[in-house]
Amino acid sequence: MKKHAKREKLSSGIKGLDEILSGGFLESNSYLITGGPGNGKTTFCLHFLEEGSKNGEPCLFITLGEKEEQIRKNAGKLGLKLENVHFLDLSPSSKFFIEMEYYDIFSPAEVEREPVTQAIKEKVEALKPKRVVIDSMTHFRYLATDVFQFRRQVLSFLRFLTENGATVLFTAEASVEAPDSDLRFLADGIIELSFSEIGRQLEVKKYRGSEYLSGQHYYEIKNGCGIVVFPRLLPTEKKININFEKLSSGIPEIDELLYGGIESGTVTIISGPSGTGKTTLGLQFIKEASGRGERSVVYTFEESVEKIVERALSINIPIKNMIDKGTLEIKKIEPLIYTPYSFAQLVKEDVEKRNTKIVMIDSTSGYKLSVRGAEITTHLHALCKYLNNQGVTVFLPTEIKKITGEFQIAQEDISYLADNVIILRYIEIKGELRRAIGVLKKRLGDFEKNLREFQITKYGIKVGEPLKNMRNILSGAPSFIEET
Amino acid sequence: MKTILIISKLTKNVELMADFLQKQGYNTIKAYSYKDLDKILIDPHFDIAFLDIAGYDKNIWDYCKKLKLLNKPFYVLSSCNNPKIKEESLTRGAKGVIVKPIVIKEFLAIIQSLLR
Repeated sequence: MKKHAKREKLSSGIKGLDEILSGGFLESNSYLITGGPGNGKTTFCLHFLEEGSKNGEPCLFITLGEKEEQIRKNAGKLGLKLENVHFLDLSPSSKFFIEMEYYDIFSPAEVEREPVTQAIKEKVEALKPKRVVIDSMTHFRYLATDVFQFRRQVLSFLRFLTENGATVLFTAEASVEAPDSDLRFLADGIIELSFSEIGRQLEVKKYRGSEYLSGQHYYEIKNGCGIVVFPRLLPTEKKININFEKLSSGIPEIDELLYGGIESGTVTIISGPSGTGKTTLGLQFIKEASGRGERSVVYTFEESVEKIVERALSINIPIKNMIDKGTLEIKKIEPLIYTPYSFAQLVKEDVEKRNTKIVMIDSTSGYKLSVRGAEITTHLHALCKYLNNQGVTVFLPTEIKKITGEFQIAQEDISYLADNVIILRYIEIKGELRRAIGVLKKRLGDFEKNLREFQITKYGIKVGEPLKNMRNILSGAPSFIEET
Repeated sequence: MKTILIISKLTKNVELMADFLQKQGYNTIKAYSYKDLDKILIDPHFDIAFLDIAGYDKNIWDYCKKLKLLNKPFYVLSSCNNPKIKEESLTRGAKGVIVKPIVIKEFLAIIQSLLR
């Protein structure tokens, strides 16, 4: 029996995309890049050719719409280098507008098809390209007399290119009047580019002969680097063995509440109203981790880095030393710039490339802004599960709006994500506003059921003895239990 | 070899049709303006004509009459299927009206029927 050699994969040249495509495009296959105007189909294809030209492969861009000069100019702005990419410019010249070029006596199919085919044939035979882009295949629709002819022509054209050793990307401009459904059947793979409120989305709809990462991924188009793809996080990828070692807070009373500390590789929600000390409590755990030489990253969506540093220093957390030692990094995240996917990519790089052990996302309300109206639970779930599988301990300071009164863990339905829930609450005792700390949930072990007084002083966090002589503490207005 | 007169204001139309007819084995004479037509009609050496009326004024109908008087069969080419144009064309002696773009098979059949 004839053995088939394993087919080579060609890198897409787009950061993050090869991960989705399990290494890249299968050689001698043809792929449809589809999407509405402004989604970056041409840029997408140019990356593919730039990558090939870097490897010394002959690359050909066949343009039927935009002029070569314009494409090169736009590519230059995006930082793409196309010096070694060959172009076959079949776009209409400006002369077409004057009578010398305009015609209506025969259909374009009768007039244009032959010279276009001849020009492509000559170029391909002379160059023998390894990578070819056709932008866009939709133009060939007008060179065919009917749908059947179009299908035959495209199929035969793609076969001509792939049989000559080329891997082909072709774009299509789908509309209600001219859908690209026929092209979808002819391609070996389909990548769909679209735009939503959250940002630019990419989805692999078909990928013959290879595995791929399904679902929606996000991408950005930036000046200087072109397209960057952020593959969606898969909670199951690269699961490592976790020993669930207990991490001390460094405050004996908090450790007593937690029966020794929180387990590594777990998610802890620190829930409380504004100003109760959620970030400070998270930083306390990070301070202890720093002492053990472990690296932590705080992603701050609300406060500035300077404010956090100033605040930590005022309560005896040596945050500058931690930063200098490299055991702490604080990153300001602008939620309206980052999407959940670009943020996840940032976290992923910190974890995988910089060996980060603790991550604090401060806060879930800020993170929600980056989701821009979409379901926060789905995105946060994917991120937390990924971090858990990496053995990373996660702190999620979560603000609740009510200062006192009716009990609530979080504004959103995210409490199920937590392995541990630590609550911080305001209580009023004899007209004085004070704070209480308690543990509500600890998935991997038992914990103290008492509430304790929680104070933030210039010497650091102070936690008192269990408030055993009070009741209705969570109502915010506790009363003393009279001893009998 | 039979000769066909092609009349159109659009240079590309004339060129495309001339190329096509030459490939089919016919001689062609090209006319773009009334001036060209006046010269050609003084001593007409063609068998049939195709007249693309797009872009001409109403004087074009006089040239249709002249073609009829010279006993030269001709078809009018129009970009739309307009009953008024059809009526004017047939009244002035055209054998019929062909709506652009031309369907090649139909066009070849018309040429053969005109030359018969």
